[in-house]
Amino acid sequence: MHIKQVTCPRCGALSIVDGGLFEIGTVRLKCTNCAFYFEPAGSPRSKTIAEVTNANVEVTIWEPEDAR
Amino acid sequence: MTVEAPTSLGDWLDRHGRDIGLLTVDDVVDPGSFEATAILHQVETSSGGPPILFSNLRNLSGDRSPARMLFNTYSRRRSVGLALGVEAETWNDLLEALPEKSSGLLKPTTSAEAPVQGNVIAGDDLDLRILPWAKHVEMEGGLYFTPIVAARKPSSDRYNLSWNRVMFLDPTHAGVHISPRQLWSFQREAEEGGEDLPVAMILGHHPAFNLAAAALTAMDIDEYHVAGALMGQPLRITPSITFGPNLMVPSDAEMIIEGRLIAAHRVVEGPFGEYMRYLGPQKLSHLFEADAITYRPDPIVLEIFAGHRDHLNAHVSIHASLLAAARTAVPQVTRVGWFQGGGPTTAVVGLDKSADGQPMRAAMAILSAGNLIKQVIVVDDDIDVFDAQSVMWAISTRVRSDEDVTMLKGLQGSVLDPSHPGFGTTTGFVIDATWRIGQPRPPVARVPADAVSRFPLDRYTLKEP
Repeated sequence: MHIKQVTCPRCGALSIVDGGLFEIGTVRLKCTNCAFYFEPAGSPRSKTIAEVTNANVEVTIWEPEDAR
Repeated sequence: MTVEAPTSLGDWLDRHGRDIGLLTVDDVVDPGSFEATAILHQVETSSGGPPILFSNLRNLSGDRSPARMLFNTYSRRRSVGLALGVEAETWNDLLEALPEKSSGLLKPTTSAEAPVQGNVIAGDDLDLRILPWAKHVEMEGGLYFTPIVAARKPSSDRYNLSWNRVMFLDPTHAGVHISPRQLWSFQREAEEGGEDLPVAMILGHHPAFNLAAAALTAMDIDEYHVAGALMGQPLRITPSITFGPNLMVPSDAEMIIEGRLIAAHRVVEGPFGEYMRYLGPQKLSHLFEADAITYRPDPIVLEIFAGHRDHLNAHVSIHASLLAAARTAVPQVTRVGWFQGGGPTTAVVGLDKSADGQPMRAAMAILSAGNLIKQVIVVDDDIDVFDAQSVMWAISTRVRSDEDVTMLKGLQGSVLDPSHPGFGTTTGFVIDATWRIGQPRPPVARVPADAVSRFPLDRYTLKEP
């Protein structure tokens, strides 16, 4: 799995993310340091959720209550 | 050599605890703040990583957890062997014994009495925070368990067992990383029919039960039968609290979380310390919704020390399957090794070669046995396949790259391999580091053995400067 490095815009912590998830760009990532949810800066937004999940159905991204 | 197999996790600890170096920590420990793995790390550094049982754990609510937690069950060859009822002097002895153990499939028996259902938490009382979720290594994305996930194929009565990383999300939800193998196909089948997939997350059972979950088995083999084979006794199963006979669960498990993999939903999960000794990244994983927690009195959660020897050794069933696959293709295969550093992506095959071409056949058998191995090094059987120095000596002195290295493109790989491009293919290689048949072999530079006998060291005085 290719990885991308992302920086939390709130606390500046670095984390690693799957390259496919990064390339979706519209799915919020969770900072592993401060638990802030954010969209990755610099994503080309070139992939769909369907492509990255390899699912044969339309997929909804679920987030826990503390992310909303 | 076989020894009497343990009957349960408790029996294994009671009978072999002293023998396997078991340590118990009775102090209050918070596994969610790295406290357990900090202790594991320090003990591993000083004494090689024995099994450690934490008996007094804080849960996510800050209260005392109902469960104890055991790490490093598989960190030592001896503990793995005794879990399987095998007295193994070497890893190779253990690998040789495993295929015979796993071939004796045992059909599970249905039991009316189920210790694991002695305590049931469901409905409004259900709260995953009562459990001692753990943080293992730095930069992990959340709190984790490494349970065995049991699921029934929707269109059949066949059960699969798989070992998964599961991240706490909220009191009733968790994220589950699933590799694209059997559990994945079960979930996909249910999802395409618009259904959630009922699953049981088994947090502790007989230590051989977990090894069944890591075995490479054909799609038509019920892994509850494999579990019985490795445990040396039929697995007792009982209807789950939530799904009744539609999901049969192990009666003698320590603790189970019943629930469903929710169709058409995914969740951000990770990073997590993986067996390749890197963190697997944050990714889109499956969403689990819990319906019930059941547990026996004073249960023990069997947890993997992620990214450490415990984690790699838990793949021993796969390792044994590779040896069996290679030997089926080429009976002259003597050993199959892999390294702590390379983990399950690179295999080394030892061969008592009798014909050119056997190295590639043996390598292909291993590459075809599953999706973990992408690189195979084949050596003559004078090379110790478990010793990286010895293997590198063979590569350094018996290989001509233009003839003996074959690149293999278009392989399915493991999504946890950091060099792997997601759902695309990867590239591997086969290195044939064996001597060619008929090729004169240079003598190995050795002092004659009889000279050592004739001139024993104790005859001489060796002075320091």
